[in-house]
Amino acid sequence: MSTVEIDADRCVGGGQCVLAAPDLFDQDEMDGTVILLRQPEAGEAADAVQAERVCPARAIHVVR
Amino acid sequence: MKPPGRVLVVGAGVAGFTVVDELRHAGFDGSITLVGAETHLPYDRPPLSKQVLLGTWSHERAALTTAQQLDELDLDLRLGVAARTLDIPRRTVTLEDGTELAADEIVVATGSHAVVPAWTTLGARVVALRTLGDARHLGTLLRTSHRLAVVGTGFLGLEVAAAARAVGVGDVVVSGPLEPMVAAVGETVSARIRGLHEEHGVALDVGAQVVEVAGDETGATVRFADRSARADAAVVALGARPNVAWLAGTELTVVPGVAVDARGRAAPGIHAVGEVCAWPDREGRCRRVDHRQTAGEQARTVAADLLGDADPLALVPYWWSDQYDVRVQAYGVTGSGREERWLAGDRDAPTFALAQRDGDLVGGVVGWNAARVTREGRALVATSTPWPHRAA
Repeated sequence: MSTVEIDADRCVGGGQCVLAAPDLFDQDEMDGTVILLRQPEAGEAADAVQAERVCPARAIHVVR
Repeated sequence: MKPPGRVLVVGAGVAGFTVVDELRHAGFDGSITLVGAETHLPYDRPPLSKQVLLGTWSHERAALTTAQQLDELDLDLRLGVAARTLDIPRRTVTLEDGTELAADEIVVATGSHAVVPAWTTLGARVVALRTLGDARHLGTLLRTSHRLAVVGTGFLGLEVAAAARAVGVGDVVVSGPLEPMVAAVGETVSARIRGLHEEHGVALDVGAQVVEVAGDETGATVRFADRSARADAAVVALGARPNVAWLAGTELTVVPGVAVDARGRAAPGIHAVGEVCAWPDREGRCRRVDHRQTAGEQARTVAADLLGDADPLALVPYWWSDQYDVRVQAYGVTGSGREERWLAGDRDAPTFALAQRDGDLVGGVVGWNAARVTREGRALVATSTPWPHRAA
């Protein structure tokens, strides 16, 4: 099972993770810092990896 | 389509590095050569005017990769050497050191360089900010300066001004022809940016025509048409131009970036990506977009196209700027002289977002400490929502 790790200090609030995987990620209302809603379930690993790859700040790390 | 055997990526910034990283992620097992003019391992530029300048991040934290990860990508990595010429029919690149590299597919990712007008003499105390080396030098300068002169009222100049105040530079003056960031955000948001900097003790000298910036052993002098000002250091932040000189004489169309289609194709066997390229906007006009997020999106499309499986990319440019405790963000195309509608808040609110008109459509959205509303506004741009947009 994949585990998502967040480095919130890197986050720039672009919201790309929410666009890629809205069930897994949300954003702080104001500065947009990523909020991990929950860990990916079976079948959601690809969404988590997509969020990792589109993040412009490399703030999301998926541990396989 | 059969994948190419040999890919050559010229430029090791975020665009070039992302192409390479995506190719390997997709399972490409051909040879990849990555050429970079700088000696550093690939790094990200946005932190240079923010965390690196503030000293809250070491420069290693701005790196895009580690030596070990690079090793795993199995590249022919050539750093510290720029490309000199491109030969499209022969599909070769000649480097500054005379080396000739041949490939089946070449990706032009040489980025851009800071504009340095003829009236500016760069030196130890007159700097432009583009590279990691520039950021480290400027960081040191800020810590020994009492007065800083910033020439340029765009993103970069204002982020430098904010960082300078944060690290204790007492007297910061920002000069330029236009209101702060007005070309990027329009008049309403520009007025808030002006207020923000004034609250933090930065003087904005807008409309002043700078005629010379020169340094000496003890400081820098900024000369205007009618007066001059002295500072301990000066930063020149007047935008960037694409690195296309090495492409002169090729068949590529330069407008001023390298014109590409919506898959990054510039010519048979040649793609261009990132700040050096001009990607079609929604009217099909090729435009440079010099934002980090866009470079990544273009790079993923180019990598997929090299492997024969790319959908055309309809760009929705995104940028952010951090100044003091404010994060300004925008999606789409925004700027001055545009009709605006509030999505949240108003011109005096602590957080707000607004949409801007582009012809008959919503052209872009700008947010001020309003990340979620701004991101939701992105859809208005991505789906070409007719103007006037009415909030649901």
